[in-house]
Amino acid sequence: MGFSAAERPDCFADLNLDQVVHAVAGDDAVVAGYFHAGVRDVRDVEARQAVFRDLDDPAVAEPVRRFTATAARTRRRLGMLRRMTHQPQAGWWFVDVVLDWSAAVVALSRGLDAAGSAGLRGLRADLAEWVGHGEFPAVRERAADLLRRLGEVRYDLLLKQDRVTVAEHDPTSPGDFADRVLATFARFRRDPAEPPQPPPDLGLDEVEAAVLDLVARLHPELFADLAAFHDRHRDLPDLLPPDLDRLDAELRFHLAYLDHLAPLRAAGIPTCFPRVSATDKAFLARGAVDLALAAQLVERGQPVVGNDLELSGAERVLVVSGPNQGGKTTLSRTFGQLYHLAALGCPVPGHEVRLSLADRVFTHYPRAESSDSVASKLEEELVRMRDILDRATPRSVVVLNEVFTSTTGDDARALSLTVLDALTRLDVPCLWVSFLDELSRAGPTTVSMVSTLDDHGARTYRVVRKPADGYADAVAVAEKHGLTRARILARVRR
Amino acid sequence: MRPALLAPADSAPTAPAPVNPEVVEDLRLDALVAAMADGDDELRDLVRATVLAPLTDLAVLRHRQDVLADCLRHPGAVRALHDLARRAVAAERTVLRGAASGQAEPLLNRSRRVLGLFCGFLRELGAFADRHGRDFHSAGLTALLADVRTHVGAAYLDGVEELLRTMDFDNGIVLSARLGEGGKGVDFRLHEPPGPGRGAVPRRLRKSGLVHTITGHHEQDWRALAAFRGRALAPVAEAAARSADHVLGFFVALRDELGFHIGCLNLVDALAGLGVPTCLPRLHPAGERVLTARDLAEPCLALGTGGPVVGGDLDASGSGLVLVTGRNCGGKSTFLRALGLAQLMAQCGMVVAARDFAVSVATGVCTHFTRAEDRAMTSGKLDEELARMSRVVDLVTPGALVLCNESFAATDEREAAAIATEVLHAFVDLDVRVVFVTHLHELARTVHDGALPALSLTATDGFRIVPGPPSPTAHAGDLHARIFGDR
Repeated sequence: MGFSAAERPDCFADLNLDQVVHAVAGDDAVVAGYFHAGVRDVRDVEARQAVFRDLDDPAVAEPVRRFTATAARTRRRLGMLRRMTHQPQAGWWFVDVVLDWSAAVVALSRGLDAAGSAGLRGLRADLAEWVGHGEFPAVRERAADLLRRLGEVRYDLLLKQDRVTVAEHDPTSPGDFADRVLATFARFRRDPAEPPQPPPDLGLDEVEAAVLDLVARLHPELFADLAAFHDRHRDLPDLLPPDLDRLDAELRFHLAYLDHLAPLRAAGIPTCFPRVSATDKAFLARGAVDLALAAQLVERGQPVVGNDLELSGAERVLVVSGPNQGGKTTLSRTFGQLYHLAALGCPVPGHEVRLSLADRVFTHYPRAESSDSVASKLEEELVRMRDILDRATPRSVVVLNEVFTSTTGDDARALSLTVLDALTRLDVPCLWVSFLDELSRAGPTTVSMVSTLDDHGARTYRVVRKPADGYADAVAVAEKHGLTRARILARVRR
Repeated sequence: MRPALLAPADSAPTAPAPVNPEVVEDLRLDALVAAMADGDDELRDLVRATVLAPLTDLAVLRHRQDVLADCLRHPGAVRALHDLARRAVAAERTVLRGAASGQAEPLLNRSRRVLGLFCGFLRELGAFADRHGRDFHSAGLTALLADVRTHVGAAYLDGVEELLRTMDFDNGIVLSARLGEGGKGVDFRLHEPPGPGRGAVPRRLRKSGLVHTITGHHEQDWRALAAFRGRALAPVAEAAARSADHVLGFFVALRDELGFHIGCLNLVDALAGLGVPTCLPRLHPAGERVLTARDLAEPCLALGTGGPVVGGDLDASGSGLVLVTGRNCGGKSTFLRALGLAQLMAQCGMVVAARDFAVSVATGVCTHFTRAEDRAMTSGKLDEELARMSRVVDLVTPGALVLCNESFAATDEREAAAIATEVLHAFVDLDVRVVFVTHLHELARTVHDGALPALSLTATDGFRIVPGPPSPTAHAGDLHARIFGDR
């Protein structure tokens, strides 16, 4: 069974992957779709990883970024140009679109030299062939020439009462009256910094359009050439590479995900490419964090705590217990996210990650809005659990968070042991947040992890294989404030 | 042209020595600031900011002291000059900005009016310079008046007023442009405004047939024309507005820089009225450990009580650590405040409340006082005190001054002494000067016996602080007996 294309997997809400995808893709449904469908074999994962590695190189990412941005802009601008009726303006903008777009394509064809992945190297070869021959270079050349000629146009104006008069420019008149005013008062200036100029408003109102028409009459040949160029190349048929939409979408997916990782990396959170195996079910993650939570914490400038997790040999189930609010649910999300993101070929937060390629991640989290009757709540939980066990394959991954809490301890224990038995027979990697610590001692496949508090009873969000306890040391108050002689000497800048 | 009454014109601005925020309350700075402001709210904010930004650059401080000395010699003239600057700034505010925001023509009109008003004040300033040119001797004031006479003389102001008149554009606007994005006219360059009569507008424009006339069929045609005129005039309106701001900036700087000195004049007047002497302190480089005073008083106490206060003499030169013990209500806190205020005031270029005062500049001034609210709290007092001391450690560097008043009183004597020993050792090692007022008798005793190099002072009857070993008698027991026992 593979990920069903384009449909959002059930686990997304539980693992907060919906938040991640929203943060990465925004309103871009095409990019969001890439997150829903994993790939089927390890070679495909590695091919995606190779593209991500390439795009991590700024030398490769920069032209690719420019290309995807320009593709979006060009689509929008061609739509607007079709509605523009004032020919001199439409002609000017069309030349601008042609130059903007063709520059991005050329930059992409030349900017992939540093790429190592098969995907981007193939793209480079195709584009190089295409931009070097036929109409593409010729159209580009003509557009550049028109823009140069338009840029050389100068004219003089007289504004008096209700008339605007245009005439040839007189190159001998200085036109520096504003400078004269400034120079007169320069002796009072303290700060040489000038205020920033507001960006120009690019729309033309009636008077500006009328002035442009007068200027066009001043330079009839230039504006005739401009109109002819626009007519002939109207929708850029000669400038759009084949299969543009798919190429653009794939590149957007990769870039958007890397952009999402960028602030985390800047905040010191390491990322890595998971080593993915089709057969080995061992699991290792060092310094792993919940991607959704980490993004929020980094935005607020708060520290992010990474955790180490491991399943080796016969171990399959991480049983997580310990104080509440200590990071148990976060750890369970981290575990599920790692499998899903790794199967997409994505880099993940962490120093090192090794895991098996999952065909699907199943999650069982408490439902806030479920029925308030105890009996039906348990029933609803059991139905969901049976559904998971029915559909899971030996290549699946299961994340359980506080199941069967609505029943008595004895019942919960018995039900949990049954589920554990089923999971063991399926032989799937699993993380199970549970208050039943005996689960962790149920056999060789289970491992215990405990959320911890620090010496003062504060949360650390660190979850470890052993419980740790401590006590506040009243004598060390001064030490705590960094006020011993040695600490002060170390703190003060000399 | 810019006034340089707080620092030499060529001095690069330096970061002020750090001061911890508690200084304001611990030293009762608000009383000092209020006396300097004398009811002027703007002056109060300005003076407060200056006092909380002590300087360490001796050249800057001496420059400021020189200007202040000039002001003390000619208070009447200086107050008149301050008043002139204040009136110029106020006059600018009477020409409303709101209506002119965002539109070139109203902005241009406003700026022309403001610049016209400023011309009047600049003429007045010129007359002041002519009258008082030889009265002042400080580099700051002599350079200012010389600048005024050189750069804003009558001929210059005549030219300015003529320029402002041509900026009415009654005979049309002539400009050059080029094509920007989308064919929009950009890079508008205004020509000299044409004068009245034929020939003022260039022939090629007068004879051109390329004319667009606003028909007025639609309201928006007129709006578009107004917008176009606005864009054409924007560079010159911008230039005029910026020029008006430059001149305003000059008057604001003059008002504010003089304001500091006016604050000092106010303070000297107030303290003189209370019989408290003031002097310009003698400043020494950081690290020289100079600290001597004759008749050093706590000015805020005098201002608060409205009467004379007891001054004291002190010679603590060479000492990095000064330990003050002695009877309660013996004037230890007052002594500490007097010292802290004098240090801050000296490092702002102000006068200090003493007959004579010599001091090394400190690279930072911090206070750590037992606080009233500490005593009301039942738990976390020590934590709060230590956190405050930790913030002091964050601020100090070698050469800083730390004033401690009954620090670590929130815990028992043994623990307090242990913590204090750590902190004091570190400060001595770091060459941070500390004046430590304490009831921790054992600590004072061991320090006095040579555990740390220190000058020991003790509070005596009559509110005098004199050199002397810490004495275990006459402490809280005394006070208790006096207040409760005599009943």
